[in-house]
Amino acid sequence: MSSGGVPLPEALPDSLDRVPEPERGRDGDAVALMLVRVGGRWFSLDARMVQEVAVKGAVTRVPTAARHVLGVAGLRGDVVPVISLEQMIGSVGPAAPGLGTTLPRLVVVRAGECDLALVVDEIRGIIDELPATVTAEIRNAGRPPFLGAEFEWQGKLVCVLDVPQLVAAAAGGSQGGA
Amino acid sequence: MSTVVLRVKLILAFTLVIAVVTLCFAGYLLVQQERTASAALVTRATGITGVLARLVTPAVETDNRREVSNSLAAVYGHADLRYVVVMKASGEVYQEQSVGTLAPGEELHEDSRHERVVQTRGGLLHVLVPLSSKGNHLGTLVAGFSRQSIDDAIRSSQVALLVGAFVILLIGVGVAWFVSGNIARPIRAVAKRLTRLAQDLVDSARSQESAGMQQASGIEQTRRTMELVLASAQQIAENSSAVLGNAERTVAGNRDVALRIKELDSHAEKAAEILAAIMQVADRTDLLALNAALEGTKAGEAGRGFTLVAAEMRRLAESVMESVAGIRRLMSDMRAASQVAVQAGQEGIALSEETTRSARDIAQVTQRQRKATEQVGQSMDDMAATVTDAMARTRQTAANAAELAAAALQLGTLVDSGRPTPSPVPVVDQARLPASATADGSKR
Repeated sequence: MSSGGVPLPEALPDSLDRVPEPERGRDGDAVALMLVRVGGRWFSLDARMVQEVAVKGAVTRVPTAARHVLGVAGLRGDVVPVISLEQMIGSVGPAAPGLGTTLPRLVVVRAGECDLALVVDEIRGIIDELPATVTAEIRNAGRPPFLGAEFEWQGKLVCVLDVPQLVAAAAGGSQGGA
Repeated sequence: MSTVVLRVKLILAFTLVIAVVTLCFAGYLLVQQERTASAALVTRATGITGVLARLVTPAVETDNRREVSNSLAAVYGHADLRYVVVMKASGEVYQEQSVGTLAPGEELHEDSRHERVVQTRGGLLHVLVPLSSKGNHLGTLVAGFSRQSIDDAIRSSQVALLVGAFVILLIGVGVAWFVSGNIARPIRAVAKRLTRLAQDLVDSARSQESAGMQQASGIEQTRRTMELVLASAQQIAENSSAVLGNAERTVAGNRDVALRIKELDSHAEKAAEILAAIMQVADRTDLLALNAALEGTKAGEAGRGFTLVAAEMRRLAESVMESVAGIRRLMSDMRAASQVAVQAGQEGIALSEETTRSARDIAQVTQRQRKATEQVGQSMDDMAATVTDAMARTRQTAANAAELAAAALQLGTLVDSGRPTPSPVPVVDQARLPASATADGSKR
């Protein structure tokens, strides 16, 4: 990141119009997905790309950074940019009452050599099996490319996040903002 | 007609008075007249006898009977002279001239030679004058004078006095008739007016008596009402004292409750701090379990068991956090309830203090009301005594008015018919007065 000196991944996904699909294992099993909640929306991301989960502590704001870059935070001796997924999507809606018993979390993901910390309100857990109710792809011009297919899980509509696309989008916005 | 009777009575009274005065005056005049006439007769008789004695003395001395007889004849024409006798010193009658004879038993006193002696016997005035010449007692000249002229004059005076008295009596009767006319009519008018005024006075006294009885009844009723008010005030004072005590105990209780609630709030804060620590530990545990699950997931099949254990730990941590969150909600509700209770307690304290002040004010007001009621009762007693005294005076006034009416009516009756009649004005009934209006005031 030019403004704060935070390294962002140089390698971006091959194509932004690639619709991410739920990855399958070698035996056709669904990969582990981490379910997170941002505001009133649920998202899932590949658990293998999640480096760690931390408590959202102090975040140092970075001048001239993009709106979705909340700042940087120190995690285990590394400086990681903190990204607001809500700012990237636009609107996630208010959280349903009674949700969230934990403190806000930082989900550190890695795409290539770039680490990003996503601010989430709640981490539901890790699921191993991908439900069979995956919706068809939703594609339009206004939809961000890192938002993949959606599926229903325990009555909740969960959107699959493409982590490389997300990192690329965050890096692009960050660079654009810079 | 009635006035005529009074006037006749007045005339009779005047006539009697005038007659008595006239008779007294006439008797006095007659007595004085008789005395004056008697004195004049004695003076005249002594004078005539003295002159006669000086005339006959030389003749007696010379024993000249003729001269003596002439001298006696010279004076013997006097109307009142009845006899003249010249006696010698020896007692012999020397010469005598008389209308009749001397009364038998006529004797002269021996000491008549030395002085003139006037005696009245047998209706005649006898004058004895001694005859003396050159110191020699020659004899005594005795002359008798009649009182006939004096008696005639006295009778004439009596007739004149009788006529004068009669005339005076007639004048007195006339004056009495005139005066009685001016006296009887005003007396009768005054008697009628007195009767009317007395009747009005009796009626007024009766009205005052009735009003006094009503006033006494009203005072009695007011006094009973004041007694009820006083009893109510005492009961209110007792109740207000009880309310005051309860309010003060309520204030103390509310303050104690507020203090306990503050202690509970303090304990709740400490519990919240403990819960925050538990929550932080659970959150850290959840975080650790989540990271452990991630590591297990990254490890593939080898880390599956690790992942399961981490998931269980995470569920346990979430359960702890949910429980802590529930406890927090409960404690939040408890703190809200305690705040409400504290606020309610403060309001209760304020209300209790207000109730205390109100009860104290009520007690003071009730105390003043009780004193005022007692003063009103005392005033009612004084007023009852005053009314009782006034009614007694009214009764006395009514009785006096009744007596005055009776006297006025009796006076009018006397003026009208001359006979007294019983009074038609009723006497005030003492028994009609209410018992509360008695002088002793025992019903208070």
